[in-house]
Amino acid sequence: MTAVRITISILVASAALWVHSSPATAQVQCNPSDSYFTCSNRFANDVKNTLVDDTAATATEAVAAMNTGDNEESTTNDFLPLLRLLVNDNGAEDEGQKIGFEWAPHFSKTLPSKLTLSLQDSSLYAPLEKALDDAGLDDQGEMLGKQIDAGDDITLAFTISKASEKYGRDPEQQKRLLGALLGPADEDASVGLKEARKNLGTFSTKHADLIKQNTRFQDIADAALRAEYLALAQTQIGLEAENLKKFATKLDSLGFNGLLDLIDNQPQFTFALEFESRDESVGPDEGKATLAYEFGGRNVNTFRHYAHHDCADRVEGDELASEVACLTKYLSITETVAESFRVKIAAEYSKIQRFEFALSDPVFSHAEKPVEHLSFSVAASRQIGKTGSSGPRPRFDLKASYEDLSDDLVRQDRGIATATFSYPVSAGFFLTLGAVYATKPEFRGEVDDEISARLGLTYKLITEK
Amino acid sequence: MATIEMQQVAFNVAKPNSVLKFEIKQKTGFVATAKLDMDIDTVAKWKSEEIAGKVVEETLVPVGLYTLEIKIVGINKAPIDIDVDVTLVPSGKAAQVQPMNFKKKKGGDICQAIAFVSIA
Repeated sequence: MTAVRITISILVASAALWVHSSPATAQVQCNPSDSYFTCSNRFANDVKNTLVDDTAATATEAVAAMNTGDNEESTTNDFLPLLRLLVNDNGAEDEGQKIGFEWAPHFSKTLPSKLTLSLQDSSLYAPLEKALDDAGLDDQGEMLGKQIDAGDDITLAFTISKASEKYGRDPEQQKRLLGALLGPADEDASVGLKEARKNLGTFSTKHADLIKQNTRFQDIADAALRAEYLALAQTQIGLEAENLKKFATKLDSLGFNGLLDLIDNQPQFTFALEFESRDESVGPDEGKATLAYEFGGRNVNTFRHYAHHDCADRVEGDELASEVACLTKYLSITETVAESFRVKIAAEYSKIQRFEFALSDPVFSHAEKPVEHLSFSVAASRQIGKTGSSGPRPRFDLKASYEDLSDDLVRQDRGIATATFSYPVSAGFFLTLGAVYATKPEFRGEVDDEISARLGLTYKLITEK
Repeated sequence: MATIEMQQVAFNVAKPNSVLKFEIKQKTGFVATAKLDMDIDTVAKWKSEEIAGKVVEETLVPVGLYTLEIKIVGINKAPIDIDVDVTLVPSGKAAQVQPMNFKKKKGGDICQAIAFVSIA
């Protein structure tokens, strides 16, 4: 009787495999030590790797196709939202920071804020090191340098921003539209997949006490049951993975990922207060307040204007439907001159506290007066050439800033303007030509003219994370 | 880097008038869509704003195999964990909960949670 049941079950399983076999399903091979979960995710991983490869290649291509400008003009490089930058570990590592504590005390949905306490990599304060050298106390400087650790430079920062559908780069503010794109992307499953689900579902519910979420195929003692479960699971896994891949492709073609890019260009106000407490050998304490407004010319707001007023496919009286219908079209349109600009306006006030350092044996002292610093800057960048062209695009960066350092008569009212043109010469390499104008050129190094030019090569290192 | 993850659970066979509930516990960091099939026909669909952070209930009356399919797509750059609880309250019996967890999902990552319920 048992033998007959085994034979029938294997025949049923084989029939199920034969009925639903397809190029995708044929590749699914679960191991006896797998559970449904591990097998499906290993297979989804293989599928994912294909997607990852595609996505990574696309992303690398996209970055390579982007001229991110002269490194000195980091203000307009990519407009990473400050709030996001603070939670981004990679970004923090790039700056030699280690985040120790982070808290997001949102006062309201429209005023997201963040409080961070970070430990900064630190070294001996350079002017102090020089003063020690000048006094013939190099060994003292070396000893002090060795005593410095991560806790000697602590920064406490509070950042607040404005968030709404029109301001801020938090995708939460655009969930209405992001969610609306899922509907058209989520097409009905194929009849084959529905039948595979029905077959596996009927089997799994019938044997629900035996088959749990983490049950491995080899844990099912009955060989016929195990074979039937394995066959049904493999068939369904293959079809599910195929269906999910189709969903991912459709979602992308509807502009889901493009919309995330537009969100990154939204206008953004940020106000940040920062206090950096340093050990006496690392440097003076410093307080800083920054107010910034930045935007990319092509963003969700400009898209909405297009979808509601200019798009031929818009749905009268239904703004959301118009946005869903017009997103792909907007993303495919060549940007206007205004849309190709990215702008940042910022004001910063900082105060470096009085610095005092003294040694009793040998007798040595070094002191610096407190310094107040006020600056205003406007930076703009523009990619030129055709959008969507396969190669990187040339780019212009312009920045003008005004600085005022109190207690320093010479440095007061200092103005600097820079213009940089970056031209792609080969993959990752850019030729940069820059002009710098300064009202007080003596603070720009070894130059004595008000205007100077520079020429250089920039190499952009793209890391895959 | 977009990733795909699928998870699946199955409940014991239950009687008509059993209640199927599901909840995506987090409220932010994703958009989602859900549908309920009976055998191979779709009998209910939910949009993102109807399910994120809410408990959704559906009474299962006709006999058949029900498949609940939830698709979740991450939207943030910072990864988040997404927890989905599916509960079956069989007619006249105690509730059974089957949790599914998706770890560290960020913008563009796709998760699919499936639950099977057989009403007989």
